[in-house]
Amino acid sequence: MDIFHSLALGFSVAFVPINLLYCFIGVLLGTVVGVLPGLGAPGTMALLLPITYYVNPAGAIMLLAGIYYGCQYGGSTTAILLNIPGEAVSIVTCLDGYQMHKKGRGGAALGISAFGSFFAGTIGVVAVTFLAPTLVEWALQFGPAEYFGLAIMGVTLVSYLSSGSVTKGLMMAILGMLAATMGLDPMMGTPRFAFGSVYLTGGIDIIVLALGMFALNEVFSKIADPPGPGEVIRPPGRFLELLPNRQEWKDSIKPILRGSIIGFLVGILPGGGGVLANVSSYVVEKKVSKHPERFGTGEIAGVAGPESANNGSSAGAFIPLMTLGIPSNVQVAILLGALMLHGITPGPMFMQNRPDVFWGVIASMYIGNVMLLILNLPLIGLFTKIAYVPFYVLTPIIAFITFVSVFLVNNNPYDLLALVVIGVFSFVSKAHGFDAAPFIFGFILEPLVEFNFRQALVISKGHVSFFVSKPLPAMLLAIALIILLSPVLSRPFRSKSS
Amino acid sequence: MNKNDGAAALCGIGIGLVSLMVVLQLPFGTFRESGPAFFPTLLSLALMLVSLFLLGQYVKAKMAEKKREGKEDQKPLLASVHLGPHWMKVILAAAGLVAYAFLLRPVGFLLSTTLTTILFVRLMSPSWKLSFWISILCTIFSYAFFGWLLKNPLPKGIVYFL
Repeated sequence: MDIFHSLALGFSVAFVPINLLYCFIGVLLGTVVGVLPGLGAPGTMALLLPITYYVNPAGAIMLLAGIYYGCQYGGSTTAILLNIPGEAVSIVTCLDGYQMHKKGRGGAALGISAFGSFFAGTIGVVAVTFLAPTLVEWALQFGPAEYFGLAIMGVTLVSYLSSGSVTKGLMMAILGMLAATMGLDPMMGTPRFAFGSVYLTGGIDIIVLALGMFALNEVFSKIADPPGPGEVIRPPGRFLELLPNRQEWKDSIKPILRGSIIGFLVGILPGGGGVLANVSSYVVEKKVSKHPERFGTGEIAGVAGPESANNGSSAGAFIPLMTLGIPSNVQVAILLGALMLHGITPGPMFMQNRPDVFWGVIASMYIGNVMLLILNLPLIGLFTKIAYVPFYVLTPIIAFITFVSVFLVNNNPYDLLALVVIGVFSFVSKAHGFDAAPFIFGFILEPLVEFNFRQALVISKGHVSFFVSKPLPAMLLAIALIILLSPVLSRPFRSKSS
Repeated sequence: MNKNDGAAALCGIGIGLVSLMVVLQLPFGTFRESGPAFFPTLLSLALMLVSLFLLGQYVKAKMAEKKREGKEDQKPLLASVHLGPHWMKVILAAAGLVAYAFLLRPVGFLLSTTLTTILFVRLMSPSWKLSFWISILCTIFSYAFFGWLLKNPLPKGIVYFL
């Protein structure tokens, strides 16, 4: 089957009315969550994970993927209008977007952001469509050593890019992997860390873990430190106010193009989430600009580039997930969890075994991007009003959805106890500068790392040198090592420059 | 670096040690034929190693901080940890969830969920009326959706007649 036939199959799946509805709900929820400061895409995706039990696999992934890329759109609204980043990926947008709003060009910033996001999202999906089959052929040659190297590099990169120190990120990743070993040994079926409990023999459920680490952590943070009243500025009322003028269009085209490419490439990298794409694009725009001094004072390129980059990155992130089964960020890791819940193992055989899901999700992303553009332009004013819902109403509702969802996973009250333990652990560790992302990442990748590591040792008859005897795993492990040692290696250069 | 990083590093070493002691009760195997304890042992050792590194970083920063004592114009190397001004309420919320886990089956979904939601709203809002209405609406909606529509066997408890 060539790409166009496959894509036609995908569109036939995506255009099934119920799947179209799931895609719409996903992008709508994603936009709303993006507008709301706090919960974020991982938390919402985790909240909806139990509901996807009742949905067909293609619809479930379309719903969750819609939240993921919809969130990238919505986050810019409050960043530009209220200087509150709804999502971490919108922090950079605050720098120039809010300044533009203060100058009366908030509408133009929102408009460019929506158009840039649409363009980058669509370019990204086109690239996924054409690159994925090629990468699958390449991925089919992957053996245990290659998978082990790739997973280790992914965990290391996420630890490095997490919002704390590398050491703390690495500690969380190892803790996450250790938590994942709880339950049955993947090769021999022996219970580990079960302490004689039937509940612990099953291991920790990914839904319970994700909800505890993100949603309950967010609720606890809001309870401990309630947000103060924010500065309120009138959102643009008329549609015409959203349209950028000719000069603003001219100044935005190149940043949108550059942002789309940067975002897509960064998105493919393990650990390369929207934040990295965003910051990289902002830095590039500032470097190539004739007026770098204007950045931070309301320069439209500072909005167009980063906003395009974060949407490009969300499309790029689907490549390693769908072709290798390796998530490149937390949101994609939750998507991987959802696929596994439905008995689908993403990887080189995903495209052959479940072409309906594979191409259906890709086709839904084309449709979702169009939906987002239609939703975002006229409804920006309405979405902004959601940001005014008082936290003391919203947060308890999030808490309610969290504990009810956790109970409904297995109708087991022990899951609620596990949720409390994970939530408290996440809350305390976050306050101490330990990011949750490497923990989740380590947890999800552990089975892949352990299985391939042990399998490679069996193949090589116990020779550890097997991992460096092949060029690709050796290179991947070398990259991981360089990343780990980079703070130490860069010290002499830093002290010289200081 | 935070002021509590030393304690966090010691916690990491402690967790590593405990998990090592637990997992080594299982067969480790060999590199050729690894047993169930093989990978968790490596992870425990890695955790202890990284935690030791964090401890080293903390001790170094602490010593540098001591050297700089008296120089008030300089930024402190060790930042304070803030759990938030109302962190005691988090303990209450966690305790409420633990109670919910134990009460869910005997008391039933409707009553225990309403009470737990009331607790969460009250922790953030001073209004009893608001707490009551949010809780009632959320519980009834979820019961109708999951219990009646999706036929999920939610525990009925003392309201068995519903």
